[in-house]
Amino acid sequence: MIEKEKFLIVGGGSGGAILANSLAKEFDVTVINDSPNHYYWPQLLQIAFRNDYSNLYRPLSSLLVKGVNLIIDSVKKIDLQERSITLSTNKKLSYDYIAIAPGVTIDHKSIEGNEKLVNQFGDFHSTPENASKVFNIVNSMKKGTFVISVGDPYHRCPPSPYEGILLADEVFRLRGVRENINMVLAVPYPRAYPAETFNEVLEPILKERGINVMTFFTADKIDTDNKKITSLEGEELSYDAAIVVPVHKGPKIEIKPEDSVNQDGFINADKLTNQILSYDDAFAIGDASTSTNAKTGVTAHLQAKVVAKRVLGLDAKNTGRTNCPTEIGFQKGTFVISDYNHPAVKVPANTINFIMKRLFADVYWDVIKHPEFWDPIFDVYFERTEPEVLWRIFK
Amino acid sequence: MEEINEAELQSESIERLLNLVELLNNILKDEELLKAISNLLVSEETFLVIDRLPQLIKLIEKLTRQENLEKLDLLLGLLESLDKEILNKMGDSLSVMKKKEEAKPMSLSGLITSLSQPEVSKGLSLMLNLLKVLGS
Amino acid sequence: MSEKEKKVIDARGLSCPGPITNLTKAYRNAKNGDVLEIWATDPGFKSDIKAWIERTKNELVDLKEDKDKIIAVIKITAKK
Ligand SMILES: Cc1cc2nc3c(=O)[nH]c(=O)nc-3n(C[C@H](O)[C@H](O)[C@H](O)COP(=O)(O)OP(=O)(O)OC[C@H]3O[C@@H](n4cnc5c(N)ncnc54)[C@H](O)[C@@H]3O)c2cc1C
Repeated sequence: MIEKEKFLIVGGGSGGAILANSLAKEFDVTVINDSPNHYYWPQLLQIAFRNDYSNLYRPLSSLLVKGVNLIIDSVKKIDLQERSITLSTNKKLSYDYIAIAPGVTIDHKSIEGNEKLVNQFGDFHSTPENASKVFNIVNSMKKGTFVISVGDPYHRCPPSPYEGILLADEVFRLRGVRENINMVLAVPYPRAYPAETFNEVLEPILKERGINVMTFFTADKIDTDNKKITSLEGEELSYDAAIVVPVHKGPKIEIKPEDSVNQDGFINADKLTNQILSYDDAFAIGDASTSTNAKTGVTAHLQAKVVAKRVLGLDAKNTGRTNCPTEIGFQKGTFVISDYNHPAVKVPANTINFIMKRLFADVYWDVIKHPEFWDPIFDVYFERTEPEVLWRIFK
Repeated sequence: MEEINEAELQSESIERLLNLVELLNNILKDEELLKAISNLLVSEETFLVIDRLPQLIKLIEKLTRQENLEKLDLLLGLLESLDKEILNKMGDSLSVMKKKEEAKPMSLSGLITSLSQPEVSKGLSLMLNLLKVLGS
Repeated sequence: MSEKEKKVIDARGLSCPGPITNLTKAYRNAKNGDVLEIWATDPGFKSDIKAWIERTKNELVDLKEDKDKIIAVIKITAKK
């Protein structure tokens, strides 16, 4: 029997787990994850605005197929030249192939005062505990100014701040306090949504729901005593309750050579192949990689499939396809669908899209565990909903 | 050896079945999803459809008769040959006509002048063509 | 200005969410005196970058169209 080649996967999140399960037959796969659980991050929004914890996490071991080895430990060092990794226990492992998929590190400190603010009002991009603080504030606030301010334009899930403000609006309306609350969404972009085409869908919705949008406002400093946020662009915004979408950084792993990571710690990988620099045995996928044009689970999933195909000798490439479900409250939703060659399609918000979003969420665990079952279904879905096709329908 | 494989295969199938049951359970526990689906299914529009079902079926039956399918093809061809601009102009001029109507009942002379406007007459000839195709 | 001090931001092919996001990300790390060069293919980028300059009061050194990309060169002058 020929020995299978060793494939190490750092991080068993959306990208890492799907890659592991896709290669279990062909390689000797080992996943290293620093927590026994795999988190479904979109659930943070459901905790923050609906107190719903149902889909938050599953034991990672239950999501990996037979034959995949799992080590629960944190990776400290990766040496691409030496083809080795070092765990926190100082144990060293070598590999024939490596895929690095440890997601992001949330860095509240980068924005002065944000640690204090998060302590008070929470947020929905870091932890379930912080998300539950958001739930408390939107369910107790009676009057004043409620702000969601984007501190990092390259945060996970591009539509999430918009979902946040619209779901908060839904809660305030259902509680009958909406008319006493001034709602502000502050964003770093020239318009409400950065992609101009999708803005045409979203801006009218924000307007209709009475949400004030402040443009070119990137949260930089927070003065919790005087309840004021100052922007990088030099403006001020007062609040009674505020949530700042925090700064996202790359993983806390020392990676050699040094030029394989950028200034913020994200791993420099080719946007078409996910290959790291000139190392044809090393890939970075998902949120941790600079090859990711939108930090979404769908992107991590598609990149995992591209890497799986490439190491099996096929010439697969990323298309830059995004498919971000966007919930707008009151059981309606839309999708941000784009790729490298097409701007985001103007997909209208409706109930069917909300149902699609929920179905995607409910099948998530099965999609991770059984790529062989879901791949053909997703292939059809992605083909039928290619931006090229949708642009002809939604002009 | 073969027996072991068989047993392994069976246990794998059972595991898959359990996964699918869990998946279904997930969907059935999702109250908001079910609410959205019922919202979509139980609406004025769907009631209308259910109420008119016999008529709708009759209509479909008529439309799918061979001779009618041919007419529909012609109609589609005609629609495709249209350029968007003419359609837009037609829409605009029709809405102008409508607005005028609302302001005051249109006099015969007013109607004649508006008919002589180039866009309106283009639009009208288009409508006549459509009617011709349908009637032929 | 030597080429070394210039930081290139390659935002080609980015439309969701768009090149301005990369600029903002770089702006957080930038100091007064830094020069940023942004490459983009998104056609809306030209007007967006002008609006950004107007609002933030930094300096637009150059804005031109190459064969396959739009290039904006910005000097950071207004950071507090
Ligand atoms: C509020 C919110 C809403 C979202 N909504 C959507 C949505 O609707 N659709 C969508 O597609 N995406 C959505 N996303 C984005 C999606 O969750 C992420 O893009 C996705 O999880 C990225 O996958 P990943 O594999 O790169 O990283 P992750 O899923 O974060 O996995 C990284 C894994 O690596 C492990 N790890 C980290 N460091 C180490 C280390 N040093 N050693 C070992 N293991 C390590 C972590 O424990 C984790 O398990 C949302 C995100 C948020 C926050």
